[in-house]
Amino acid sequence: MIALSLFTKRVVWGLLIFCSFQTVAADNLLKMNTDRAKFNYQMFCQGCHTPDGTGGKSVPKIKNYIGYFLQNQVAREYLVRVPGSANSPLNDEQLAEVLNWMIIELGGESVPKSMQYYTANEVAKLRQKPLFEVVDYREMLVKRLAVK
Amino acid sequence: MNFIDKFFEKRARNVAQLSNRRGFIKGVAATLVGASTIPLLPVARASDTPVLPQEAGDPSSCDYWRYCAIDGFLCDCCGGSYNTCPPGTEMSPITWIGTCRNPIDGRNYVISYNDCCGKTQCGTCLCQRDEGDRPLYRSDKSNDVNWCLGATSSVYHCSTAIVVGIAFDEGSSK
Repeated sequence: MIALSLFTKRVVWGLLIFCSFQTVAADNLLKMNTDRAKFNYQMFCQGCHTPDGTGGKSVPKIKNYIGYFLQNQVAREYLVRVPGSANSPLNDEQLAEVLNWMIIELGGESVPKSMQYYTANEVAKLRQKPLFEVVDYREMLVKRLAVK
Repeated sequence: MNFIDKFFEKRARNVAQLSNRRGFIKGVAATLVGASTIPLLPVARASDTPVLPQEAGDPSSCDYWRYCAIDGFLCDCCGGSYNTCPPGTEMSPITWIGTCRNPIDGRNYVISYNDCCGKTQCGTCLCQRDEGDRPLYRSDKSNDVNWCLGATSSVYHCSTAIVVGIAFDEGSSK
C-alpha cells in the first residue's frame, strides 16, 4: 500500500511538472498575436518577399529557408540585423513577433526542432548593429549553413 | 465532525470498491497521452482564404476606395481590371502595400498595388492619391518606386489594387 501510494504521488508530481512545462510553452506561443504578426508581415515584408515568402530576382527566399538561419548564433543575428528588420518602424516586441511568425508560418522543414523564439530584448540589442553590406554577408553565411 | 468523517469514510470505501488504483493510473496515463496529442492536431493557421470585401464604386474612377494610396494609371482603364493586368503585360511580384478603408463596411483592408509591366505607359486614367506614401528613403512604403524592377521587364504600364487581407486593429483585438 505504501509503495503504491508513493507511486501515485510520483505520478501526480509528474503530472504537475508536465503541466507546468506545457504552461511555459503555451505562454511562449500566447505572446504571439498571429493576426498582428501577419498584418505586419504584409505591411512591411510582403511587398518584396511576396505573400508566401518565395521572393524573386534579388529578393531573398524565405519560404522553407528562413529556419536554416537558426543553426548558429551569427546567422540568427543576421535575421534581425538586415535593414528590413533593423530599420523597420516596428517596435522590438512587434519585430520579434513577426520574425517568429515568419519562421513558423513560412520556414517549413528548414526550422530546427529545438527552435528558440526571438524575444523583444534580444531583438532590441541586435538591431542596434544593422548590416550595410547585406548581399556579401548573406552569401558568406549561406555557405556555412547546412542546407538541404 | 463525526458526521463528516463518516461521510467521507463511506464515500472513500464506495470508491475503493468500485474502482482500483491501477485504473486511476491508467486513466492518468491516457489523459497525459491524449493531452499531449492535442498540439499535434491540424489547426487553421494563417488562412489563405481570400478576403472578399463588399464592393461599391467604379473601379475605373480614381475615387474608387481601393485606390486611396495609388500613384499610376488604372489598369481598369487599360484592358485589365483592379486586380488583373491587361493582356501582354506581366504583374510584378514585388509591390508596395498600404491600407484603405472600405466605405461599405467601414473596415480597413490591406491593398497590394502590383504594377503591370512590359508595355509602355497606358496613358489613361492617371490617378495619384498617395495616402500613406512615404519618401523614397522608405522605399518599401514609397509609391514612387518603379516596382516593375521585380518583373521580367522594368517598363511600367499600369497599376492594380488587390485586396490581400484585413488590416489589424489593435483596439478590437483585446
